Amino acid sequence: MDELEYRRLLKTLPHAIEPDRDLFPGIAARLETRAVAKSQRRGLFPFAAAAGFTAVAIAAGWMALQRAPGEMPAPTVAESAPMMLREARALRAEFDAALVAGTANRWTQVREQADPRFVAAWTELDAAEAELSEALEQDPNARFLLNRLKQVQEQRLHLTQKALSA
Amino acid sequence: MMFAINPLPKASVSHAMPAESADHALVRAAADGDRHAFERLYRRHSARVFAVILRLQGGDRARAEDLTQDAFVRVWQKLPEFRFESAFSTWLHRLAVNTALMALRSARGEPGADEDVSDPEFHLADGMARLPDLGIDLDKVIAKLPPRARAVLVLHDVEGWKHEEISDELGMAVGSSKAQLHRARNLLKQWLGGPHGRA
Repeated sequence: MDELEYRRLLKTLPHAIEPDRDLFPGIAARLETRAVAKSQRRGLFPFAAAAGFTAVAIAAGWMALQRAPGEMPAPTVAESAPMMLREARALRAEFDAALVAGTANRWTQVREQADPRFVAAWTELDAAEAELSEALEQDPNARFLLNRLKQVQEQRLHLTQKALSA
Repeated sequence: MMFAINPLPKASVSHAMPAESADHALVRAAADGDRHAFERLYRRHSARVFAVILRLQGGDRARAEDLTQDAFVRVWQKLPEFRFESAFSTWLHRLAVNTALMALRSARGEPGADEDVSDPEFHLADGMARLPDLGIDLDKVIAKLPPRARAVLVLHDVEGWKHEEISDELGMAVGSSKAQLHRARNLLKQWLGGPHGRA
């Protein structure tokens, strides 16, 4: 085949080809989904950041009080310390398993590829969890720390669901 | 008798308007959030966009449909960045090509300069390619080229891009683009018919 024949063949190629189906409804649906997700994110991130900050503040304040035992209020309910710690560990294991299952074992990948704003919120919540866990280790009788830890775990799960649907 | 004069809808485009001006009017409306204007842009350009994506994807229609949708979603997001300094169709096609090439890279990994022909034994005797006048379907033959050589050939010989533009888009040297084109043309000619004529 010479150059002229090749050029002639090229000219026979259609410059426009119709898809087999109308693609616009799918495009419009995706634009709509993105608009909704964007408006949800606007409300979500200040909430997550504030939640993390509040949890860190509670844990830090509690630990400061622990270091000054004279000023520390006595726990209202005396509970078995080992039981509370076991509950906290079980709680963490339960939520970690839920995160892994909810992301079909792609938790690390989901986190690495997520919108940076999600990552920032996760970091806040991770810090909150670490602070609360440490505070709970120091005072295993503080039921409200355990409750707060549970709230932070729920927020992490909620955030992951949002990241997956974004 | 009174005549009610309705204001023209936001995305109104006269049929007498040149294509580029009509596009620009629709782009302005769409960038302001007018979905109907965006749909009209889609209707005007989707077949051209689909054609180039389909060729870059080696004839995979389902994949090309998904990527055409991806491209138009990106277009919607980037409309506010369009500066009206060039034809909208040029800007749109660049974005569509970029979308298709990104997908090729992620699907196959970055193709190396020494990638092999996907099917070196391919020839028209396979009976899969037929064109109405010559009995050859050139698109099916192009689809058999290795991805990078195919991309250069489609962009240069079919879409009319310059080697400098192709090298920018594919992240390769201008010399590599020329070499890939030479290789792609040779393969095509070999498959379509050797030095002694058509197969």
